[in-house]
Amino acid sequence: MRHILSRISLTGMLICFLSLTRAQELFVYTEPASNMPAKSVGLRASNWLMPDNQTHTINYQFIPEVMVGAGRKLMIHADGFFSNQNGHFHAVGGGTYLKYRFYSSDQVNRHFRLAAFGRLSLNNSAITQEEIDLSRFNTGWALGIVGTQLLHKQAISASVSYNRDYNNGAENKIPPGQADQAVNYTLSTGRLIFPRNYENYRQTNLNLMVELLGQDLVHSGGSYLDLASAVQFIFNSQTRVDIGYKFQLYSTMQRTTPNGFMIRFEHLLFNVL
Amino acid sequence: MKSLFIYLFAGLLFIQNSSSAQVQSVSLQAGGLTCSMCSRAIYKSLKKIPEVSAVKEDIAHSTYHIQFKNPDQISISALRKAVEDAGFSVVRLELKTKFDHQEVRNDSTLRINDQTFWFVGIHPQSLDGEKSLLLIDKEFLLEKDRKKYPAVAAEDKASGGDKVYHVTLLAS
Repeated sequence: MRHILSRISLTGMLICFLSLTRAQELFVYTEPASNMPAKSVGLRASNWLMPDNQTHTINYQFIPEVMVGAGRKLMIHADGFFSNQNGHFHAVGGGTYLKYRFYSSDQVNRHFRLAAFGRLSLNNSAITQEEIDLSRFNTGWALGIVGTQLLHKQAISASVSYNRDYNNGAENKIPPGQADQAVNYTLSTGRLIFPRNYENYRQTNLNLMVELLGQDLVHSGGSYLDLASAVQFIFNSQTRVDIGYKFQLYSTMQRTTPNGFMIRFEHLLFNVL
Repeated sequence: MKSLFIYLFAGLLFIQNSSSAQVQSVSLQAGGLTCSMCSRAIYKSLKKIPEVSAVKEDIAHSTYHIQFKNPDQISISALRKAVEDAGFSVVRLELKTKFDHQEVRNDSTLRINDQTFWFVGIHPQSLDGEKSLLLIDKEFLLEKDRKKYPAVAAEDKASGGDKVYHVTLLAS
């Protein structure tokens, strides 16, 4: 009950924040319902620096990612997972992510969009926590839906997804009794700090993002809620640098790296396909 | 006297034939965006069209002023596709068109730049100089703005089966 109340109050706080801000939808910890341009390619490198509360070391993960605008409604990501788990930096897996925008209503400076997304990941890391994270730690698949409303520079995005994980290979099995299914949900907003007025594409954009990231394990009843905030720079309307920090608001499940930094570089290549 | 009539008739024919209309440039507003990265995606997509010579962006209003290498080769459908490929929609498209003694009237069609335009919401007049034509088909104008003009049929076709663009004249 306490968790439900805290979720409701945090959601309320986020909505209040939304009403005061000029938001952007290029979220850092989640994807909006919009896609990248067709025939364009995005190159992304994410660096996760998260203290591991079991080994008391810094867990470093490097995730290079190629994003392709396959059509005006479909985008595809392919990513690799590298980690310093077990003391040495090595490849632990890879994955693919698809997003299909199936509804779009555009007006001047506003839109409402819905997209379906799916992820398929392979990972051979040791399973050290109950949390299911197909973007970094687990083998499995996810299916979800995301809705994004943009209203005169104010955006809100929410998603829900079903996640199913499997053994990370024959040697890293899910511990007996541990949940292998989860429902993830997110609520995101962002604020444009600079420039106050758009004049040209060379102006550096500065955005602040705030996102709520939650998970409920199916059957076992464990759950967590994280608050992630990020500073985002966009250079030349083409290159993004995100610096984010995520921390746990509450959790009733065992997690090894709930808090920490994420630094991401992203560059968009227009019309290269 | 007879030859005078012939000259007068030829002169009238010449006047008739000298009427013309040609699209000079396009002003296009896109919908569904605010960020400059999104705006640049549309800009890049428009610039990629082979017939486009220059695009001047107005990021704050999501509007693009488009010039063409050869005004005879303006493809409205290519402009729309470029915006939609970037992930957005056209919410307003104006054709800056140069007229020379061009008679127009309501519910009549006119071939301009090898495309067929159907005039609505106008009174009969002769057009001279640069005028702005507003596309009022649903793919090019917001619903709330379309309501200001007479309803048009999406299935209207030109005599050759080509697509017809419904336009009205904007006050200059």
